[in-house]
Amino acid sequence: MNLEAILILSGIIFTIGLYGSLTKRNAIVVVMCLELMFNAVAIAVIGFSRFRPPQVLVDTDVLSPLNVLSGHMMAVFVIAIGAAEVALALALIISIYKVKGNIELTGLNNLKN
Amino acid sequence: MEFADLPTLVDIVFWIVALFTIFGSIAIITVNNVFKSAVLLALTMVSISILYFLLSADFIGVIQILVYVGAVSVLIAFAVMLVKDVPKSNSANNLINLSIIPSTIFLVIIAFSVGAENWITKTSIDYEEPLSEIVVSNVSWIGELLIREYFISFQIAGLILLAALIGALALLRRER
Repeated sequence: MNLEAILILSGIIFTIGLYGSLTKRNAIVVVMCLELMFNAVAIAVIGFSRFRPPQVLVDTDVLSPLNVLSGHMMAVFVIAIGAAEVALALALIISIYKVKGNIELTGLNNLKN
Repeated sequence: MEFADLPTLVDIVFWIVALFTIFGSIAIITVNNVFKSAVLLALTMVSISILYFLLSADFIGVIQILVYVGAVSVLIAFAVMLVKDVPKSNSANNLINLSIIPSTIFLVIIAFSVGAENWITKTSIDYEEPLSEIVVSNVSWIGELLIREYFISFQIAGLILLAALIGALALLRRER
């Protein structure tokens, strides 16, 4: 287990989420793929925080909690924003269902004509 | 083979969990049933939290299970009720072949930029060992950082959650 393996894993998960959110017709699956992309970013920052604390950024050799745990803090905020995003996305999906009767994103071209 | 070259238990668990995460993510977008892919999303989130535990981020792993497996998966399983034809509901649109191109370009860029950097020599810390006491017992340090250095960000995150809640209620309010 090293930093390269974790970054490559994070990139693969982000790519799967990107591909799914580009190609899926169902709104729920698009939300799931967005959550996958959020989690890929969180894996990357946790990996940076574990293997390479950003001492070069703060120009000190002291391992203070502010240096070592900065990735953890970013992951906390990523998870919080992900939870807020999924609540809003569910409300939007229910609104789409009220208007259209289904939740297929392909049919949402009302502004086209 | 030297004894030091043998993979440790952490390495074996990491590779198993990484493979499970990748195949779980692929299965989310390839199974035909949306409900199955919601269950697979919960399983993938559990394996990602095991990855956080391996990276000695205990608090983030617990929060991952609480938020994603406990709350987000329940919300998504609730949204599955709106789907008409559940067994064949995970169909793709007509971008299914064209989307391979930007995804592949993105993955190639990530792989080249990870491979171009020499990560290990730039850190002054022996990365096989746990970093320090800070990483080993990080829950109390995260609490202290949240109310000291990251206080404004913490309050703004709370405001964003409140705004998302009010926005969701306002979207679903019945017009009279």
